[in-house]
Amino acid sequence: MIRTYITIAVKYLVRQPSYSVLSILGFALAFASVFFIYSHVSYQSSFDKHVDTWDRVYRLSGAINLPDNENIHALLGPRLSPVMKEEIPAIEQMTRLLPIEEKCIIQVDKQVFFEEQVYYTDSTVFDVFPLQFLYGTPQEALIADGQVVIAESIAKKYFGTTDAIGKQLTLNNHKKLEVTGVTKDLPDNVHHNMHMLLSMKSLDPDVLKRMESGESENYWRPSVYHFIMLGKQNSVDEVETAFPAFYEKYMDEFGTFLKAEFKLIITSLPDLHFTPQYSYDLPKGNRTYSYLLMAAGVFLLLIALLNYINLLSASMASRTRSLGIFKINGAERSHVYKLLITESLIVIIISAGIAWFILTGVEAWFMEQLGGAMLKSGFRTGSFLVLILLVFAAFTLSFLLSVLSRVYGQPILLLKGDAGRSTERRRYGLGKGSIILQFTLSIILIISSLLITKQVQYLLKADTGYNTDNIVQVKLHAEGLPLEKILSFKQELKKSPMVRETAYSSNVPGEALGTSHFKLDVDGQEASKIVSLLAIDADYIPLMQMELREGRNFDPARPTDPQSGLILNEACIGFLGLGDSLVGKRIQQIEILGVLKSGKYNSLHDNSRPVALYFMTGNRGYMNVKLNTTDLPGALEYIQKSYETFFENIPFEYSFLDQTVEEMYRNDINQSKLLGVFTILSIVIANIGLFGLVALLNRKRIREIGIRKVNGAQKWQIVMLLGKQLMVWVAIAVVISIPVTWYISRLWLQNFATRITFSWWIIPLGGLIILLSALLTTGLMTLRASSRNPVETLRYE
Amino acid sequence: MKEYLIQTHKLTRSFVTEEVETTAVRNINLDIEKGEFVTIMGPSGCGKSTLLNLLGLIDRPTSGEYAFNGTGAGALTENQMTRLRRGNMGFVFQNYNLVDELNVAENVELPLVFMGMGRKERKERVSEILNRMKMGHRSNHYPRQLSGGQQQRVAFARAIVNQPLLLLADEPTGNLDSKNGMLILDLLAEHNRHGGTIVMVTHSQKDASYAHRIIQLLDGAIAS
Repeated sequence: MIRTYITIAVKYLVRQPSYSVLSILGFALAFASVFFIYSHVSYQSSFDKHVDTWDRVYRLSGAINLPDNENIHALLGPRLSPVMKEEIPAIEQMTRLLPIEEKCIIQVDKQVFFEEQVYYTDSTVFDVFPLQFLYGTPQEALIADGQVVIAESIAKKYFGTTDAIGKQLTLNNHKKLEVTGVTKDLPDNVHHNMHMLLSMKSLDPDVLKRMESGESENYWRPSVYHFIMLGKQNSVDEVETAFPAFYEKYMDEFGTFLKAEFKLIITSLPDLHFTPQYSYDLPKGNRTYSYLLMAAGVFLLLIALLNYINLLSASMASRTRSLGIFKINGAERSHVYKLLITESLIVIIISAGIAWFILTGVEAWFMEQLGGAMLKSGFRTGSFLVLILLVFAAFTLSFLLSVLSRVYGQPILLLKGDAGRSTERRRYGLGKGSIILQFTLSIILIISSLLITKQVQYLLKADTGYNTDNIVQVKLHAEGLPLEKILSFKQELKKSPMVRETAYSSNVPGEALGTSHFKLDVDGQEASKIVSLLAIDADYIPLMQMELREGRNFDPARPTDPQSGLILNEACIGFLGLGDSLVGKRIQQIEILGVLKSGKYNSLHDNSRPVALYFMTGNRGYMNVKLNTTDLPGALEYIQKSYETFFENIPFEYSFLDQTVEEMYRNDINQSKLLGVFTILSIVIANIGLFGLVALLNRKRIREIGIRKVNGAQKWQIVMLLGKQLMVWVAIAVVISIPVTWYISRLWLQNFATRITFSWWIIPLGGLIILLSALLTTGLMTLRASSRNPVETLRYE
Repeated sequence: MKEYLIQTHKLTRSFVTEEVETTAVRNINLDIEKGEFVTIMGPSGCGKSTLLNLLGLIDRPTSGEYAFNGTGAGALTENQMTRLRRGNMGFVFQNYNLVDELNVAENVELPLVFMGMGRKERKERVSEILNRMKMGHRSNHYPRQLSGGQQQRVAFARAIVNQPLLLLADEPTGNLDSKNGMLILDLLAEHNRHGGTIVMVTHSQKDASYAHRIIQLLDGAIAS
């Protein structure tokens, strides 16, 4: 029996190619999107779940509240977690990660590598994060001075083999290390990448001694990431309850000195990557995007199902006769259902197969766009489960549909190709409803997508107070080298006509800046303020084309500027509480020389942070080079050559300022691109359904068109007549989409401190896009219907 | 003792559109014995086809009673009607009513599929009947590849493949030329000779002459 159903279904699909192709295309596009979104979201939601202990491990951060400013630090004082473990029984184990600032230079024989995210850590790290060891043992790997554990990919990169036990490397030109363990690589979706861990004892003995001393400040000073692992039976509440007594005992002294309150923030591992950005933390993800994409996935699936209903409804009109024949020859209601379900299943299975091909085809492109290997992990975890769910959903819906469309009318009516006017009307009503719903979903996606694109563009073009054009930032890793080399390098670069200006800065926008506590006299009261610091030289402000709203730039001719002068960014006004005019005022004996217009150094997800610029050229940081030429390769070659004459054996690394700024919004840009792709797909799929419905509609109206033409209607009047209906549908969809879109956009825009206002014109624009796409889809078909000879169309009846 | 296959009492069928009620079949009392070949005749719109549809259980009467082979059909559900029809009735239509997407063998096979007959037995039955209709060589062809006469032979094969008690034919020669029309009538006559009961609607006196009995309908009622 099933074989006959399959035969009949396949034959029907083959004989109705336009119906089959459109149905399959709609589903395949939606399935491919949903598979992709599933992979993406599962990648995001499996962040930091790579170790078995993930549900017991928490990172400690601290909200440090000064009277008028709160700062959440991801790094805290080195004594915090070791002493907490001793005092609070719920904590079974702790470990610390002490980050080495910026990139490290690793020398292996004569080769030099840069490495990011290198940490000194306690030997307990493998209790808290039980990484899989390929060579060496976790018990002995990080217990003594000069030990390092590396990931297998690093071992291969440095030594050409994973078995690197006993091999030597040099850190930052001076510290000799021996590999004592090689671990399996971690997946990409971890917040702290532990691909290179150094034993805590490898630290400079003085630093180590300072870290372990018991004074109260040693619990506060931002320097290490703390992780605690709770006992299996213990909960976070126990730690929170015990903390006030701990604070009283160890931390209160320095807190009173700072006049600050401290609030412990305990973050579970899976949430770590998605909490708001804290000071000194690594870049974060944003779950709102995952939710948006999931919504887009559900929308797409719904649109595709509605699309299928429309096509199936439209095809019903032409297949009532064969269903009538089946019934006269003894088919029961259940037979007809099974037949339709078999056909739906075949469509769905073929679509899923094609979706898989589409996905593997575009995977590389997506990876390139999003710059990550995020698809793979998701695929492994259970796309098949999703597939089954999808099949089931579509299956149920097609079953419902077959009940709804009442194919089982009187067989004799079916035979005449007339399922009865009420059925026809119901089918049309269903189609109309689903098209309006599809339009609504598409409009919501279009508006969201437009809004997100607008916001991202706004961020990229926001007035930061500096000009990002044509600036190359050359990384300086000149630790241990005399400062003169850097100054000579700067002078050397200036000699080329390709270079307009050069200037030193300790950091580039988007980097975590160091901070300093300042004690100020505000209205006779002593106030403590935390301000970010940026070291620059006198050429920096002109090079960046920054403007001063008051005061002056640093002046190399004035010897006091380096020691006792500061330039502040605009965010400091108000924050410091020293009034609107700051120039000439002093902060701890340091004179404020000038105030910048704007000067935003952090990502505009947050408010612009207060930054104090001081006059110093250091041997680590960046040489900013403003180019005078459009010959970028030539200029870069020149810069590299100059660099290599000054800094032998230190790899040349550069970036462009505009790209650095863009990098702050990389996630936003990527996600807005993704949403854009899915929005376009939703429009395509919705129009496939519309195509089916208009085919049905035109068939229904063929007689009406004939009569109108006989009575003198012009072709354009007929097209208008059909187009008018489309406009009514779009208008209804626009109205329905307004509250939803308004809610979504408000929710999403809250992620940004600097944001666009909701522009109402976006809503009709969304409607217009849908209307135009719909007119394009249906225009040709409608034109054809209206061009038919009325005699021919009337004879149809 | 007479054995009736069909018995109707005051069988009536009306169609109601938004404002008009039309009675197509009115108070029909009709008994047909097993093995009879009955023709229903009458002018266009007199209700011939409606009556045939009622007898074939593919339409429901508005009022009156109908018993098929001793089973009252008045209170049956749709599915019960289908089951009663299945295996007991075959249909031949003026426009053949073959499924365009299925080939000859698959079309003929349909009633057996819905009866739940096994694949092997189905194939044997289909092949046997198609050979009898001299259509065996066409079993893989699609309806559009066949002439009208051939299509009607396929439809006839499908109607009798499950050896029904009753064969209903609605102007079976209406779309055929005289030669092919004769061929179909001969097949009907032969089926009747083998004991099959036939009710045929026709306009043609010549076709009607094949029957044992002619019922004349006028405005939905039996005239003679």
